[in-house]
Amino acid sequence: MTPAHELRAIAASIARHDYLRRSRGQREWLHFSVDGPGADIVVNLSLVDDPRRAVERTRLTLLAYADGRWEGDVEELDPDRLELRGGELFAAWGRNRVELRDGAFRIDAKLARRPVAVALTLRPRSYPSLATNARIGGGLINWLVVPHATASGSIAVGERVLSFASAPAYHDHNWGRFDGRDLAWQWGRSLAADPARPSSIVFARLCDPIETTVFTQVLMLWEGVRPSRVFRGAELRVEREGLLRPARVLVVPRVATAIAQGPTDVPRRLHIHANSDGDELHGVFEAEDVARIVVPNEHDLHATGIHEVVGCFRATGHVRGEPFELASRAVFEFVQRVA
Amino acid sequence: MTGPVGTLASEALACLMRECPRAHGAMRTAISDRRVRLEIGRDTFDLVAGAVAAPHGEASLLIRSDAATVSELVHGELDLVDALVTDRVHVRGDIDAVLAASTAMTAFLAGALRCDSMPALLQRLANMERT
Repeated sequence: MTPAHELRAIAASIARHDYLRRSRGQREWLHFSVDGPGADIVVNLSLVDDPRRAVERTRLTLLAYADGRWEGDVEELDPDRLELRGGELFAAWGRNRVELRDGAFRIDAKLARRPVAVALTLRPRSYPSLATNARIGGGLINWLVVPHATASGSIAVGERVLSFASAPAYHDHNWGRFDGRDLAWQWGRSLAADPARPSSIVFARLCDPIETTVFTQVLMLWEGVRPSRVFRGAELRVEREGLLRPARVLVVPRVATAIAQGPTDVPRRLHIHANSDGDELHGVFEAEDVARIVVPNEHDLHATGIHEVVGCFRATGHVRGEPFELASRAVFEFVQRVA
Repeated sequence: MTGPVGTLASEALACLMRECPRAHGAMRTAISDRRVRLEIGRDTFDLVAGAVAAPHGEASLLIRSDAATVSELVHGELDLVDALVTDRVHVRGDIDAVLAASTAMTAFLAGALRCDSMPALLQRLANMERT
């Protein structure tokens, strides 16, 4: 159980973060995911300032994986109905809200065209980790990650409503200036469901779109509220095994289905080995199912697919002589050109 | 004069030309000088040079379907092959015209993804199928 003063300090450290930067030519997105009982939930709010068109495009992605199937969509938010407050986390449109208030992330969002709605309160349970100015191709990306939060609330998928309290949850905030053609990534996170031993991992690997150049790779481990170990660069070895080939992949936005329904190159298993200074960890992500978020390229008429993959992550190892073990639900992302 | 589906198609193509001219250009290039006739329910219209026109003369390609099927196709709820084998979409024309139409459809959807105004138009199509 995290002491109250520690929770207040965590909330204060996140409140100091500069959300919704809305700078010219910048990309920015807020990602939340919840391992709810009976449903995996992914919420993403992205803002892209397009100076060529003098518009700021804001998109909401809401995905739920329940009963062995995905539901959800990506929706473009009407700028005339949208209130965004620069410097803080506040986005409101109609009855929908994504905000940071009183130390908690509050998400009330309902898709306009699909039967999915969430009412979530995510309370951070670990200090954020911040990586700034990571160079990717000709651009820079920044990343704030909160690997451990607890989520309470509900999700409605069709007629079914699932309510939960203290479900494992995750948040990150990404922003920067870079060309979409420069970047692909593999990313994943897993958090122990047992609140008495809240181990968690976050993995990120940024590379060029054909994965011949890895710009940076990192595996971060947390035990409790603080990071316990970070493995970087050559300390990590990553191996793909097999291919995940579901009979059908949900493609969002739906209008992209007919042009981006091809097979994925998502591995069935992703092995991550970390070894440095006497510490080591061996983990494997076992993929279960995938949904494809299609992001139109800006430089041509093709598109990039961000594959949200649910599954399980198992890891064993030791850090500073102490055993590290994790076996829990996980969400990974794999990016590839799709159309 | 065309009916409601033709009017909507005309608005969608105008939207594409305005908000993603590159996709509209790719669609025009694919169709070239062909005349594609669409029979969508009771509505019949031609696609000529990237715009909707009244049916006239002989078409290079005929596509017959209904608003519900077109809506399901563009919203990813129905696979085109499934629609063809279950006769929900009927296509008649030479293979070059069919391939050109397929390329044009891909360009249209690639552009639709990039158009701010397109979701509202596609929602009108979805609503049309329910009425």
